[in-house]
This record gives sequence, C-alpha cells and structure tokens, in this order.
Amino acid sequence: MENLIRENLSINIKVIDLLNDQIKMEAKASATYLAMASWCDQHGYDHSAKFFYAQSSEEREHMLKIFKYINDNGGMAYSPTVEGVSHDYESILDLYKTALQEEIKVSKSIQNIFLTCRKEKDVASELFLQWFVNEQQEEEQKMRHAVKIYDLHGEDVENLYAIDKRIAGV
Amino acid sequence: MITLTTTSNKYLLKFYHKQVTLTFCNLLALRNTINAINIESHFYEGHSGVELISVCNLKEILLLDTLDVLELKKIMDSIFSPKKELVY
Repeated sequence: MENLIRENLSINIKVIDLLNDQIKMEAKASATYLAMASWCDQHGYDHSAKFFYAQSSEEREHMLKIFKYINDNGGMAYSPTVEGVSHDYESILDLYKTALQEEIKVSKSIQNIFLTCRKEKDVASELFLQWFVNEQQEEEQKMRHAVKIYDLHGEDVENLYAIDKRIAGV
Repeated sequence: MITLTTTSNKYLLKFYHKQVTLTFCNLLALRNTINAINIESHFYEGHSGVELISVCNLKEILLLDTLDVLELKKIMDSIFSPKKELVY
C-alpha cells in the first residue's frame, strides 16, 4: 500500500495538508488586501489603494502557485472559502499595521511548513518553499516600511495625503 | 467491518456489504472528507451521530455512524503514514 501511494504522490501528505491550509491563508490575505484597497479608495488614499490592489493580486498568484504545485505532484488542492474579512480600520496607520501583522502571520506559517518538510524529508517541497521564504521577507519589509512612513509623520490629515504619494515608491 | 485494500493501482474499500473501487484521487478526496468530520460534535449539541458522505465523484454514498467515522479516520491515518525507517 505504501509503495502504491508513493507511486501516486511525489510529496509528503502532511506537507500537502499544510499547503492546503496555506492556500486558505493566501486567499484570506488576498481578500483582506482587496478590502483594504476599497477602504483606501473610499478615503481618498489613491496610491495606497493602488498598492493594495497589486498586493491582493500578488497574494492570489501565491495561492495559485501552491495550488498548482499540489496538483502537479499527485495531491489534491482544495479551493478555499474566505470568511471574516474586515472592512473597518481606525486610520490609514491602523490599516498598514494590520497588513504587517497579516504578512508576519503568513511568514510564520510558511516557515512552519518549511520546517515540516525538513522533518518529513520532503526535499522537493523544501526547495519549492524557499522562494516563498524570500518573498515573504520582501513583503514584510514593504509593509514595515509603509508603517514607518505613516508612524513618523503623525496624524495631520494634509500630511497623510502627502505621504500617500510616497507609497507608490514602496 | 471496514477494510481498504489495493488492486492494480486501484483501492478497494469494503464497507460492510458494499464494495467501492477508488482511484487515488478518490482516495485523497475521501481522506479529506473523513478528516474534515469533527468527531467531537457527535457527542454534543444533539448530533444524530450519523454522517452522509459521497465518494467517487458523487457516484456512491456512504452512511457512517460515529464508530465508522473513527475507523475510517484510523485507516486513512495508517495508510498515509510512512513506516519509520530503521536507522543503524
């Protein structure tokens, strides 16, 4: 039985389960960023809105990358359902801080899967996830940078809109 | 009595009087369905203790009681857990 399963499956089943959970997480992140883009649009933060639309589609790309990887290796990827996406934020700073927390959560999850691959000796998945580890570092840096910009310049409304233009360069 | 055996790249699930032939994909889907069942809920909130699941892309239906679910969870767990290699 074990041999037959190995013939059909190139990656470890525990890793597949974790990757399916990761798909849900990426889908949630994508939906959350879409909600954030909407909030920014409504409050006139045009550059931030553009930034979050791009982030949302990037998260979706990550999700599809994992989705394809599972299916290509004999596993079964499950299309995720997304619930509980918040559309309420106290301020633009609060929004960016939430986004940073989201990225940290995703990074931790990726690292956890990476370590599971190592434990289960799933070398192929470990290599596959290396790209995600680097990508997450970049994503975290982006959000941290944005939080710093807003944090430094206080809460003066005119100032906030001027800072928004700087987001385009993040 | 529930058993799962293999026959030339197919899996044969014997569920009491019923026999279901599963492809690997069907097996993965069954594993997912079984693992998604929250067995604790069977003991609370007036749960009937019965689960109705479909297998083989809706071609077959299985009616499971709590013990059947537990047994299937055990079977799925054992066939997908690789035996530990001996380290010398």
